[in-house]
Amino acid sequence: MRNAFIQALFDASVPAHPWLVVGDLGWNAIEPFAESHPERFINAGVSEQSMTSLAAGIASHVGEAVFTYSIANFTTFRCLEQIRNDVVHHWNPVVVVSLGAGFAYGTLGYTHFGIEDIAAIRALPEMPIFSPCDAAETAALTRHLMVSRGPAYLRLGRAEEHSDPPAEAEVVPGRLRCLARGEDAVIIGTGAIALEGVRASRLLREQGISVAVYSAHTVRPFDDAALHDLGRRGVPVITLEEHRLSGGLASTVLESAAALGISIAPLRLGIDRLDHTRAGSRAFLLKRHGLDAVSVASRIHTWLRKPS
Amino acid sequence: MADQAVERVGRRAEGLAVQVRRDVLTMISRAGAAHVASALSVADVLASAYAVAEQDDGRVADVILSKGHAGAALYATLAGVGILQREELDTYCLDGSRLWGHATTGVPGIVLSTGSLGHGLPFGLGRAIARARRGEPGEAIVVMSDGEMQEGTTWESALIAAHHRVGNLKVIVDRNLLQSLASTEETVGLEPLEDKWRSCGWETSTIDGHDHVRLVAEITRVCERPACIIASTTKGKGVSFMEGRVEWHYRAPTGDQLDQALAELQ
Repeated sequence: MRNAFIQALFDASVPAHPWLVVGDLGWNAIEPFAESHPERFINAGVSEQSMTSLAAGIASHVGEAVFTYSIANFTTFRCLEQIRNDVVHHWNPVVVVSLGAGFAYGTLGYTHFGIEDIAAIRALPEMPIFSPCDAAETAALTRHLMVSRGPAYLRLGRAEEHSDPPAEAEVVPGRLRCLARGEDAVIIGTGAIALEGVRASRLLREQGISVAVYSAHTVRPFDDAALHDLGRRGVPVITLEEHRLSGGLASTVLESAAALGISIAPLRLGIDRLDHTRAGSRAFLLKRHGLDAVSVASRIHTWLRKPS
Repeated sequence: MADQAVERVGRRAEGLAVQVRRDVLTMISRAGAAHVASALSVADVLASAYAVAEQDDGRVADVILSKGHAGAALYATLAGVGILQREELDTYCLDGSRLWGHATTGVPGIVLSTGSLGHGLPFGLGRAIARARRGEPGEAIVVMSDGEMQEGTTWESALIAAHHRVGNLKVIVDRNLLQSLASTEETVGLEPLEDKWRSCGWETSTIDGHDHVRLVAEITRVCERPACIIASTTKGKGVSFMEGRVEWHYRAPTGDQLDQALAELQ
């Protein structure tokens, strides 16, 4: 997704002159921007707190989007106070971009897992949160953020994911995006794991269960209208995230439901307890946490078939 | 800046600083607020910076008070140069005021709300870089506390600024030698501080932080590299019973103490 992000920064059809401030990361990705626009590029070095405040200083003066860029926790936890004080509080247009959502960095281990970042940023009111599932969403959201004139968090996976959605599923910030149709239940997933949800829905179809899949590429502001509609229709909802269960997508859905006055008790799929005892690829770690397509399909099957 | 002009602006700063100290004492006493000694030690630095900015020749674009707890001194200085109405100082820290205890935006001339140490320098560095890259004139002057030298971002930013030769950035350190519980050297020793800045690649000098002409001369120097002015000061400067005492980081002067302090500042 990072290539889609960088390429979107070059999109001449967008009336913007964004800056890019990196924390010494992005090898073999950020070079095209750095070489074409050196006047709007800075490598701040391995100094994430200064990277963030520096970006806020630039943004406050130039009034254009300034993107910060590093891996998962380095752009968020490492400099959360800077985001809170210098970005959000002043509403300076800094877009915090993190690579490696969820288990994307696999064997690099715990320090590189982006599994609490949504929760951390959700604690800062009103800062928009975007978590695309594929390259198309990444590109569209980046173009949106280049002109949205405010702070935001953009959480990217690592690989260049491509989904195979119905043709009419355009990317609209703030709206759920349909990745697969279905009538018996709805999976709302955020990030690349939503594609795992699509694979799970195909497995469930073979078992005669029809499950729709939506990508929540916008975690905040969440698509309350869609949620309200689901609640009204009484459709069983499954939330799916490559993130701790507490504070991420499931929490967002539950809070929105409460605010809307609708009763939803979703099946919440995410990282319940982190098992760090064995190293492995993202695929290995997803399976270990019951988040691969086979496990997701099985858990949904069991949940739907439970006598109510 | 020519010597004659430096003298003139220095004299202007001297006059400003007297009023700043009087206002700070009154504001803080009325509000029962903290940080009076921190505000008194930096009064001359702020008065000098704003006396230079007042020249309106585009020399100074930003003054950022990174040691935001001296907010009272900043507000008083802004009133001294006519950016704030003096009557508004009476509302400092009172219910409904625009003037929070720490330097806060929403007040003209303040571009960053501070109060958490270590934010002003990287932010000011960003402002300076943005101007330099766009060919715009004007320096960012970041006023820091010496305790703030213990924050990691100080040295991160020092390295970044030197590496990129950000010559339109100046730091003034209010080196009053005290911090929250004891002296800086008893807490986490900073000396040799000048050596540290110099080794990071900054033009560094140590001066009397209550000498307005000297401050103006340093502030108006044109540098190709970022510059650090270590301003040797006394915490609580100007009020004999407050000078060099840790408890005046916290206490607000009572009525009698206020009278006594103001009498010393005639």
